[in-house]
Amino acid sequence: MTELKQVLTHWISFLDADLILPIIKALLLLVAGYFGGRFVSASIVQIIKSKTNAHTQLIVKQGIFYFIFVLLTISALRQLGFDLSVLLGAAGILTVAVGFASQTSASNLISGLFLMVERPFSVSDVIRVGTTTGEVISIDLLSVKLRTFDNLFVRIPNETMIKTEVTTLTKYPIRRIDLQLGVAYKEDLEKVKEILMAIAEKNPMSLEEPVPLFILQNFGTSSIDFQFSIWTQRENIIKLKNAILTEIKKVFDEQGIEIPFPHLSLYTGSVTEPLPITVVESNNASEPVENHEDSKK
Amino acid sequence: MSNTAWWGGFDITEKQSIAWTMGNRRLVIRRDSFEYYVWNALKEEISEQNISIDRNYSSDDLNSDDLIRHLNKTTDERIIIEPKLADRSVVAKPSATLKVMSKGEAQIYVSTPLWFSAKTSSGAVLIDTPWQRPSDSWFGPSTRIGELCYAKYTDARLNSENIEYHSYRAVSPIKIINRHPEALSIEKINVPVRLLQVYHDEDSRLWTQPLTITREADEDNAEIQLDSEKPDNSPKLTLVSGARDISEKKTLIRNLTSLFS
Repeated sequence: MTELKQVLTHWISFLDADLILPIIKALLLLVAGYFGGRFVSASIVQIIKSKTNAHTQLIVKQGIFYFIFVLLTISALRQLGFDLSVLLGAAGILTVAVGFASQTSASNLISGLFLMVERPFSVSDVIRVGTTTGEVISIDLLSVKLRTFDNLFVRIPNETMIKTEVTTLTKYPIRRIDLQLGVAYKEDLEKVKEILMAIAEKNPMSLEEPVPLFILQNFGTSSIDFQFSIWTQRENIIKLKNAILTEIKKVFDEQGIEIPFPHLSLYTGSVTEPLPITVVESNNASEPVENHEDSKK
Repeated sequence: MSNTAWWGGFDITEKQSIAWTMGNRRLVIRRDSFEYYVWNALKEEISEQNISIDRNYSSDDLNSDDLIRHLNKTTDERIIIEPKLADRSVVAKPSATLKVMSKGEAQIYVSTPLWFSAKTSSGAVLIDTPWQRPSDSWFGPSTRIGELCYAKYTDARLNSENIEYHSYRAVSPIKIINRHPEALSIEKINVPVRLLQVYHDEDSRLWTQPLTITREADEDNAEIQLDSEKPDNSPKLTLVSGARDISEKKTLIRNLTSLFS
């Protein structure tokens, strides 16, 4: 205990009384800048909450926080006796050095500013970047954070967002579902079209306008391929797709319309033995089970 | 076609169930000491269009999947049933394209679907659901600009006598005045039903507040006037339901493309 007291007294003796006060002031300014910035930005967001969306609130919050924090940090440096003009000069040199060292971060930072200004999407929008689809949970200076539908947290650097194709799935209130279907060559296409239109009309989630589209695509290898497109409110996409596909299968079965699927024929060639076939069940239960090869003999 | 007044105040005692039935569509409200039970099963196809009321319905065998329970410390002895207009605008399509001539005017009658809305006498909403779920639709000049609305189960006629009356629909008289030098073509009309009140006449037929839409000579905008008087050809009308959106202004300006196509 005595030793500790001696050490403290030794160190305090080094500090001039004129130096302690500015350090305390500077620390107080930094703490005030951090907490004050958070408090003021949160309070302003509370005021504008009802009139703005989540994206604007995020920008306002971050902008106010950084403004107050940087301002009070500069004041804290002045309290410590730093000459800011010298510091800014040094900052120029430092910027070059740091710039080389942190090219990626700087690129992300600038890309982040562009993203905030351009606003191709907002917080709570659903976007697709490459193969990742998810809800935007925050747009920060360096990256965009997504929550995917299987509840994964994905961080995408802003530079990537600027360079790659980003699709906003929730930009417009309505969306189109494109169903790729095919029917057998023997089917009457007019009848198929009528059935599909009736199915779409019957479902209230399928929009009456724009009208559903029936586009013949191709004469495929085993089917006539076409696209059936229906419009719906974006929130109903999955529900309607499931409902329509289920209904199509049901009605096609009822109407005897064949949906072809690829068939696989096994050919053993002339030099190989025929494939043995065993009848496991016959119409007449009393008939004996017979082997194909046996019956040939 | 029957014109049973299915709306108004209903006294309901504890353990009593009241059912409103339209074909295979049934809505049931039951009152208990601390809760209301509301059964609502939406059907795609409704077989019949007459609405009947059973004040002593047995709710024992109703499906619990369609049930919502509203809990409270006490329950009111009276519930209010209102015929509400749709919760979005409704698009109606005349049987053929109409053209309102330059400097001309026309009167059309549009029939739109109603919602069954129930609340307690203290104002708590128990249910607000369509009798028949109309299909969704989009109304606007492009898939980017426009609004979601409803489209099915509507009717637009030039003469009110040609309108088929149903208990689950209300008729909106709409006057269209065209002061523009060009004729106004109407393939479809978007009726802003959220702004309209509902009245019933002596025969329990339901009407909405009349609307006047004016296209001025030099503008692409249209002025919608919410007329304060009741529909003129049915003098003895009683207000049964207020508008969903209360507009302080009696005149609204809309882009022409948001009303007609």
